[in-house]
Amino acid sequence: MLDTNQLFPFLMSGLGFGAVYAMSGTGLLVLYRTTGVLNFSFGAIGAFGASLTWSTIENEWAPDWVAYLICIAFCALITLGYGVILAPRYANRDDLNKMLGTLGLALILLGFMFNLWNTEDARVFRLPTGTRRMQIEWFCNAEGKDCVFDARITYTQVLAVVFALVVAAGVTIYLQRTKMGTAMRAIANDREVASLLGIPVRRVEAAAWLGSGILCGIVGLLLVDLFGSLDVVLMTWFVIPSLAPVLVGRLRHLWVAFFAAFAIGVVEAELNASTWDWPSLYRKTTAYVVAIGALLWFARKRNLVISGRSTR
Amino acid sequence: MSAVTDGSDVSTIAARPNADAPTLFSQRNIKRAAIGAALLAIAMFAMPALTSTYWVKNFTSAAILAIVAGATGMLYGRVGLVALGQMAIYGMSTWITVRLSFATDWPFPILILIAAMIATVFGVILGLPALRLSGIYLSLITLMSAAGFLVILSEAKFANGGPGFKGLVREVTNRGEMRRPDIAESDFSYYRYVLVVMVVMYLLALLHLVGKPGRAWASIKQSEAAALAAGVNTTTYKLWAWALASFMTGIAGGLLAAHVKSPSTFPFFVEQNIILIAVVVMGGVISLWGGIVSGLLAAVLPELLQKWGFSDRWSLILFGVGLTANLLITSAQLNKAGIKE
Amino acid sequence: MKLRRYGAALAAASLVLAACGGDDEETGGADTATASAEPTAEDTASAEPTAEPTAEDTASAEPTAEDTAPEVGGEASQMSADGESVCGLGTGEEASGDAIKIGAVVTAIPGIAFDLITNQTRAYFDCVNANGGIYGHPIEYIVENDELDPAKAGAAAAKLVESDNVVALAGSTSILDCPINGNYYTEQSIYAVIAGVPAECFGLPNVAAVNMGPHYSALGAAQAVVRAGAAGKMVAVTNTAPGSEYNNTGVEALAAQEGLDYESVFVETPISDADTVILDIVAKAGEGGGVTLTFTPPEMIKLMVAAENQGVIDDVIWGSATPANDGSVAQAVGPDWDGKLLINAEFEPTDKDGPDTRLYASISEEFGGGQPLGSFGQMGFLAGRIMTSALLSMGADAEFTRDNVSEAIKGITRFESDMFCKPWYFGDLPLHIPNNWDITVVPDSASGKMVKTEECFAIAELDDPLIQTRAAEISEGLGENG
Repeated sequence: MLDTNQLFPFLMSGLGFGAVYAMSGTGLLVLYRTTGVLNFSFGAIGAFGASLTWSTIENEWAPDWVAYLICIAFCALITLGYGVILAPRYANRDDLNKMLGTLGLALILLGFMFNLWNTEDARVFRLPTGTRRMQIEWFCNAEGKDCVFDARITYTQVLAVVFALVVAAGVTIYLQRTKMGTAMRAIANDREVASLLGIPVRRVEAAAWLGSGILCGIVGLLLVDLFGSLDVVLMTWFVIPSLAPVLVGRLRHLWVAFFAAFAIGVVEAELNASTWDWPSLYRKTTAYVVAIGALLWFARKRNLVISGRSTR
Repeated sequence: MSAVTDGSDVSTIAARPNADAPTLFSQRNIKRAAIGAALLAIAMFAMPALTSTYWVKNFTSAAILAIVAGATGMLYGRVGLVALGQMAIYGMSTWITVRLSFATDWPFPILILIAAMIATVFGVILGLPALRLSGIYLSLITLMSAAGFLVILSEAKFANGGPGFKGLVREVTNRGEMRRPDIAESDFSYYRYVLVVMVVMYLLALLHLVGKPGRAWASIKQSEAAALAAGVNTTTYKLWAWALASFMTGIAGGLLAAHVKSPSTFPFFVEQNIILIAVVVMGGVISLWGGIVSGLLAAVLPELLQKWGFSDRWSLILFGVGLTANLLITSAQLNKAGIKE
Repeated sequence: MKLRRYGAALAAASLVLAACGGDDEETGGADTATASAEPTAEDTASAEPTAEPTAEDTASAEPTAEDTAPEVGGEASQMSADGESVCGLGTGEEASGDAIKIGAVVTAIPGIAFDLITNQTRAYFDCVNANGGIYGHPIEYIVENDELDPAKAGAAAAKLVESDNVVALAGSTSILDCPINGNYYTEQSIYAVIAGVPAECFGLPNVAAVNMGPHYSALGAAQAVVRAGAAGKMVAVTNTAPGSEYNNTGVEALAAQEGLDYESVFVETPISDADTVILDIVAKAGEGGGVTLTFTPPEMIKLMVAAENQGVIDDVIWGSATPANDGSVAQAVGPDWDGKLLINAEFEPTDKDGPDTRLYASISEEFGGGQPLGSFGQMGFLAGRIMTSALLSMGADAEFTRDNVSEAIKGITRFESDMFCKPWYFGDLPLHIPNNWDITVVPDSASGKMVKTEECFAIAELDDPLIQTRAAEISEGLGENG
């Protein structure tokens, strides 16, 4: 049973999270295709950057906009640093061990966050878009009441959806039209052949790491606003449900992942609109169920079998 | 040089699959058995006498985790499967053991055997299709399962003697605890009980490793395509390893239930899977001894850190650094040997 | 067969070992107990009459100091001659004798932070130690963090009781401690003055909490919500932490009594989709219905911000259990919430002009690192102060063994503080709910604080434990009747 009055506001909320899944997914997917690394520290890096922003705002070290830039700069720097210093050392490992390397980074960052900040306490900062709200009232009756579509959303939710779309479209165009993008696609297909063809593999990979890092910082800031507080544990492991749409896209198809992300976000939210208990209680399994279902469906044809690289 | 007797990661990765398998009763193995027995005797009798209940409880946790780590390490080091969802099987078995303990008066070993078997069945049901997926997909599907399972477990909670399927008491009083085996009521005797079960589980794993399954696993790890070509039924043997690891983990889950008596969801949080794989890699995945080291790292190291005046949150950083260092070293060695995975 | 014999031998061996290990402490402890417990019991018995006139005079705390002579009861009251609260003996001299060990188990992980409580208990003991200690003995306060890990919680209790040999527990606040270690503490005759979270903490003979716990706290908030005019339906919302199924049952009973519909909602924490959670709750409660929330401050903030964003604050009447009574909550939410969340504070506001409240503020500043003031801090302060009173009541010549201290703790029949609505007590009871009166506060964005809107009122007697407790207060002469 669904409460029809609730469908629309829940849809709006679901789109906001769908957008975050989509952005994280885009960052994870492009990086994986270019470098073979599924970056599990994506969430931890974002949480660390957001914590720096919180400290800057709380202690009034700098204006708010500088604090936001600090987050993005930190995430870009750490991600690039990992990509340039550590990642090449794992170049001869399979995708699995490359992923384990980023898990190590996630643990280290989480440990430092626990030690540097009082992470037990409530820590809050709001983006300027988070405190401004928009009332949607579409298809109302003559008195402007009983609208068919009636919801309140924050500008952060709007920003997230728009930004996700811009990122996905931008990345697509970039990969298709620019020299660097072509190089990334070449590396994604075959690293060694690309290298033999004279493509500067290291530099292209570094560019992918940098782009993914910037995205990570932006997602981090948006997540603080969408969650309502800075919760580093939640943010660090938010990477796990974010992987679900990427898996639906078989770690390959950007737009499949993009739409899967919104679908997961919306379904998860709409399940809470149900008046039955259990769909609402277990709504958080949506991303996992979708990912598992998709993978098992793919496994049916055995086309993902046999070692790492051939699947990319 | 064989997978079993060799201690170093890299040479084993490079080792030929059908290199001379060790015989069970070689002189070397007898010597190792003697050392193992001596260590076990020390762990069982000298350790509790020299320390306190506090440390006995921590070592009990370590021994239980050593079973999970041993199973996970075996999958990683011997079969080449990275399971990121072991904690779901562990948790499922804990839940079943607790629930059965209130519902029946069956002896404890029966409880944990049933729980472990049910957990194994679930592991296999998921594993059967999942094992057709390669490397990273398999890891991610297990991680996703663990995350989904945690949502269900948080809602179900652990029985405490109430009615119904969940067995939850809603009043202040009349809350029950998980029972322990009759012969191991005290913390000290339960510690020894856990040690014995741990050794039995390790022997079970060893029996597989030195036999036909062990050789099949080694060839699968080397190259699945080659193993397939050589006539190894890769799916069956992978599933076998999967089921064995699930069973061992399930037994550990049952032991945990009686260890803490009133379990909660914390040990099965998704991040615990990540910490588990970190300590498993740090402990070493080639020798079964690595599992014991991993158990000690996970359960005893944080307590030692506290004792030495550090926040035990440094342990997360240490696990991260340990995992990274281990990967760097093995990668450098592979590089030197000119091997690409 | 062989295995069983082996097991039996093992069990026998371990029993012998265990018996040897515990031997010297236990028999030693028991000896001293039989020798010295009686005088202590007499002491407390004789102390009672001195307390009585105070009770007759007035309920307020100040006359106590004037009345009592500087004997055992007087020092235990921790008041200076001019009616100010002091830490312990208030001598201003550093204590340097043999330490008295007090322990605590706390849950402190991101999202569930109860170390605000133990930090304040520690600050109190630090202050006592800087003021002459317990007749010259400093208090050594040992806190173990269980990190929500049941295995760690069990090990922590074993360490405190058997390795550190603490004489009592004070300020423990853990989701796991009572369920996992409650029976162990009873077996070991360890007495504890704690801040209780799970149900088990309120059902033990040797554990009493300074607070009322989420169950009665949510019930008190629901009473305020009903008084504020909630109609139609009550929705009780809480987390899925272990034992949380008990958080909502008080609200359920109240709804039944008031003839309201009722629904329970459990939300997995940490909350990632507060918007939909809030919309769902409001839809369930319906226009003008009542909602009670039982969450820690970080989760409360997420939900309150979401309600602000969704513009549903005025759709229902909101109530909250005690944890929300925290400065961080008042500061994080906007003016839309002013006066709209009826929080059961359990204690008087932290800006009240009373001797204990003043002392709490100054200790927090001097010894607690300037930790923000709130209900959690008050719990830690009170646990420390009650424990100190119990220790001081034993007299300067007492032996501070576990059994003696346990007797002294049981001997607390009337502990007054301007933070409590009614005097607190321990007594010899099968279970303890000594704090069962409630104050309502609401957020005020202008001051960034919580302000009081309702004076003390009694938590409704809707279940057996509370009915028994109120009956025992009268029959045993405890608290107000003591």
